[in-house]
Amino acid sequence: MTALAPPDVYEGMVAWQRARHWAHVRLFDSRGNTVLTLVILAILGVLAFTLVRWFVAVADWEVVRANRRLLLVGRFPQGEEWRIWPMVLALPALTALGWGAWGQVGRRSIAAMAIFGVLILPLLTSGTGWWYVIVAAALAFVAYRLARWSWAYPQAHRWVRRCAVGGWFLALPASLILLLIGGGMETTLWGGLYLNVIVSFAAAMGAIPLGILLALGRTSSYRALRLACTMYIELMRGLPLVVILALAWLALRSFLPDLWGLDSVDLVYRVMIAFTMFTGAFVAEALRAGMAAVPAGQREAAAALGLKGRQALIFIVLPITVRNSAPALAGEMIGLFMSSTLVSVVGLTDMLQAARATTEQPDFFGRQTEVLLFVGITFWATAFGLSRLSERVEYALSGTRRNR
Amino acid sequence: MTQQAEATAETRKPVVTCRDVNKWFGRFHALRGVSVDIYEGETVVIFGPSGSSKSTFLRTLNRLEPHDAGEIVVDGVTLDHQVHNLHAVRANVGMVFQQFNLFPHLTVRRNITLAPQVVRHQARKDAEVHALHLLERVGIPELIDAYPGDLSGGQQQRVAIARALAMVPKILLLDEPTSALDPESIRDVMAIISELASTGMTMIIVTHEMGFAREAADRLLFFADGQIVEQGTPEQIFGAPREERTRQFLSQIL
Ligand SMILES: Nc1ncnc2c1ncn2[C@@H]1O[C@H](COP(=O)(O)OP(=O)(O)OP(=O)(O)O)[C@@H](O)[C@H]1O
Ligand SMILES: [Mg+2]
Repeated sequence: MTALAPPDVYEGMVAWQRARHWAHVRLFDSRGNTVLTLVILAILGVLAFTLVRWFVAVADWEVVRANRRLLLVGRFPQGEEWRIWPMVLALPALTALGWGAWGQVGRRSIAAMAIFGVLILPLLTSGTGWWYVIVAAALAFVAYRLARWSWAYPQAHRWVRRCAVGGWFLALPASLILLLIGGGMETTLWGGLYLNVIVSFAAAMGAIPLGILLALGRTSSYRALRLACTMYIELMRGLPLVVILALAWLALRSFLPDLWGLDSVDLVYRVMIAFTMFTGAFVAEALRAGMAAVPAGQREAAAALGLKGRQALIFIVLPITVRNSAPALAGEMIGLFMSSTLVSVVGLTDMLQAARATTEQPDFFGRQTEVLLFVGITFWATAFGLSRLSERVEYALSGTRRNR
Repeated sequence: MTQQAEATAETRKPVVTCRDVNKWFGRFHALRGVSVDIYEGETVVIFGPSGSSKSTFLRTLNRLEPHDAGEIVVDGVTLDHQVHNLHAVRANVGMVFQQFNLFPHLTVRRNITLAPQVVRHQARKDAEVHALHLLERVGIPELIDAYPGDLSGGQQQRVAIARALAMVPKILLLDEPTSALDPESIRDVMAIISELASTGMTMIIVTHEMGFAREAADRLLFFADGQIVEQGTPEQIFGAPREERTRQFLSQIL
């Protein structure tokens, strides 16, 4: 590779000349590089050609449009959508509030969201749907502006941050309550993407505290506690998730007869517990690594100031631990969301299972590709959002105001 | 030199009393029978060769390192394994570290106000007013909203001093506070510490800044091999050291 071209090289060139110069220096400067560039271009070209041809000439998204309800909420009864819409409206607003309270939306993120919106929204909405989309977008925008505005006022800013965090903690109970109040929905009727979201959200809310406790237990000075936590973690990490789910489905009754009424708990809740227990072990390991990386000097400084063990833990050790483990934690949460598609093993109809069901409809024979692609894009976008979120958390706790 | 230090021996009262303090790291005998009284308002400088357990001694005084034998009384509380109010004692004993040890995830403001709010239950407003006042005292009020990672070493150490002072400690322990700094920052930080000494703060400082020791210290303790080999006023130690070991060490560093 040659060194970066000095800036004055471009002087007096028009755009295409610059592009040619750039390509010459970066892509075709040596024989090896030229060959590599051509091979990669050829592969990309073939891929792009087949993809575009497929999208333009073959793909028929009618299967997604017609089944969007099934994909998103499963067999949720007609007329009960009011139990879901508030959360669909609240979550973008909460995301935007947090985004604005801890950072700024960059140009690239807006571009990504725009592309995603153009690809996905037409498939999801028609008629009344648009109104909800517009309201959700407007709410999110207002929340974002509010959060940005609050930066100028420390007191308000603190409150915005508290509301953002509190909102996320309230979101799960709120969505569960909405599903259950007023002669609520049987859990067997929950389904589609909403089921994936609610199961993994609940498991995340449970797994993080459980992981913290397990990590603390595994590093504790009490031998018995340490042993118990280590055994639990190793057990959970050694079992396939499918086995744990199957156990939660079938065997919980035989292991825990009548204990705490666990045998009569709804399947969906048992699945949530299974995911929580499984993910908690992995979260614990991610946190333990991050905790080991907290410098001893930080603990000493906290102790020297008179902070008690618990206070030092809450104000000093855990925040630094979370920063250290943020990428690994995000990985676990993404994995959790992906694994939530395994609920079909115990007979629940999540988004993936709903997608499979559509392929049995006579009208859409042989249209699996579109449906699966749609499911894939949805999951990918969520995972991408989560990994960006972890970057923000890392930055917020990084101890610098420098831009990265 | 401070008023208290000049008072007669009868009126002075020790805030730190060490009697025959011993400490082992495994088989290594780190502290070998250290006995010393530190009086209110005194500025005591500890110096000595590397590995002579200066840091270890300082850290036994707030029980970051528990000692194995002997007696340590700090601010009227005997530090031993059954001490109940260790946290209260530590809150009254400030500590400044060689590596600053600021909390990296908190702003300067929060670094300083955290302990007063959490340990002393001060109102946020009061704690913040005090924090700003302390930052003015160490000369960097404009950095109150910065993060430690964005500050220079000298600035970080000044924040660390402000953080320790925010608890209004009775005693301040400083372990080589300038060893990680460049010459200019050393001067600035030492000036702040001298100013603190002149206001009557009880301080125990491990340092090799002999200029500071000569000017600001009331008493010097020379440590070697886990023992206090010699102690005295700066005039005595620099002018007429009694021990051969002291003379040797001083000739090396001066
Ligand atoms: N946690 C520990 N475990 C084992 N040995 C230790 C520990 N801390 C200190 N030591 C040993 O005790 C001795 C004294 O260490 P200390 O840090 O107190 O010396 P010091 O006088 O402060 O040296 P320096 O001037 O280099 O800071 C050293 O030999 C060191 O190796
Ligand atoms: Mg030392």
